[in-house]
Amino acid sequence: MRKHLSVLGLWIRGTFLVSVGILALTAAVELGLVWWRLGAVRAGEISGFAALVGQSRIRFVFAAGLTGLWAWLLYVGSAAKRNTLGRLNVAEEKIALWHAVCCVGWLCVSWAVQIAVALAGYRMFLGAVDPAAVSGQSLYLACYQDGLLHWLLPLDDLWSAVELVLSVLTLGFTTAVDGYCQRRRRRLSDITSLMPLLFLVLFPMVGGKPSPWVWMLVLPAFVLLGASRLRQGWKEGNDR
Amino acid sequence: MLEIKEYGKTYGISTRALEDVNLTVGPGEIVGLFGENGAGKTTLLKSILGLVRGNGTITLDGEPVTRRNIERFSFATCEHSFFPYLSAGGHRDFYRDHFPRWRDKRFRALMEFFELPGWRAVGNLSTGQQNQFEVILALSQGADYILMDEPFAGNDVFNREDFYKVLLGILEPNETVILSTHLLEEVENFISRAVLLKKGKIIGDALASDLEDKGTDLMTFVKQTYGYQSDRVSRALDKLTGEEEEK
Repeated sequence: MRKHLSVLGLWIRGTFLVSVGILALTAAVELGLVWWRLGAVRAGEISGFAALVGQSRIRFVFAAGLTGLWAWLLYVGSAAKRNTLGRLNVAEEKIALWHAVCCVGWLCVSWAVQIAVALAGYRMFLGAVDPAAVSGQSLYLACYQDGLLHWLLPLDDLWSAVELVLSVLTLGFTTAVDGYCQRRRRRLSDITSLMPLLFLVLFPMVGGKPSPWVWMLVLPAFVLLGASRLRQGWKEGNDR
Repeated sequence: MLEIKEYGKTYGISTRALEDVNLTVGPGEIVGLFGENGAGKTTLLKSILGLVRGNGTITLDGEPVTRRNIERFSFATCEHSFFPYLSAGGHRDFYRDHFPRWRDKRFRALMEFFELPGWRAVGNLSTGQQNQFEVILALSQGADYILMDEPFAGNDVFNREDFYKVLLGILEPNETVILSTHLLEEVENFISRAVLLKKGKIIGDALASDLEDKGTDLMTFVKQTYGYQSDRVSRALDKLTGEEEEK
């Protein structure tokens, strides 16, 4: 087990600084945008928290931050050389799965940071409005009014929660498998070429327009494709 | 003992990288692997490690090379095998976890000798330092067979000379080195055996001691084996200048 944890540690160490930087920068820009729009809240031009989130355009910053994080995780996976990973006592397919754990972990951290940003933004909002204008359910209601907030916190919406969890798992898994494919074949893998499709699934949700039909088709297709690549590699490895 | 029998590797449909390679390397040998670009040196080294798969058998002490005995090989390559975002200290921790015979004393001594920083990400070091670190990792892994593929590409001559001296000083009798390089003159006094590859086939294999007994140096042996025509350039120049004069 120690060797396996060591591989996980390798991925975490390799991705740590830049990932933290991307998340911190995204959060700082998002909070900056919310703060900038607070003037409109005080002037009464923006009436609710959902409207504040929508008009501050933080969903675009979130989308850019998520893309940056994904690109970084992908890059680290493909930059690691097979010359070493292929010589370890741990199977390369298991190394890819540990990389997937690391990627999913970073996506979960990204999610937690966004929740923290939303809560911090809500506190800033509370400081800018008349207390009589908000109720205990203001945040809950905002999560149903704004696409990004609903995607991040799908309260009482089991289907959306499942969607969120599966999206994170799929993105983490395919990112790791893509690195695995690139390490073995040294060319753009088919998963990379299909990856924009995955973003087509994710980003409409952020914009408040869920597209379950794409989600239903694309996510399982990605998981199956990734799993088949690992299986193929595993079979080749066992022939050795 | 490393044994390669009737080994061949074809890339794609028709590109033959290796053909009918038979080679046996015993413990303690320092083998120089020579050949032009595309002769199959890298493919042969990667085949030994199982990073490239071909036809034929490659065994280590009678056992096929698998995950069970792969740790007996280390690999230093100009393509590099380190993790660019990890520091030297991070590599040390990682290698210690994965290679039980890791030589920490050797690692620290070599890091100190080449004055490499232990805290900086290896990807931020200069190319020469990265090559040094690559070789340090290979030497410190605790492997019986150390495979090196053009490990000093990009290093200056003093640096390379230092390395050969260090290698000769620290290698233990049971440690085997297979070194692929173009720098024949530099390794002439270092290797104990020369293996020559041409178009994927072994065309020459000689012990340094045998060459010495015959009074032949490595360069002459290589030129003879390759059928190098020393007057080739002058003939070509004569032909070119002759054509110019006729015009």
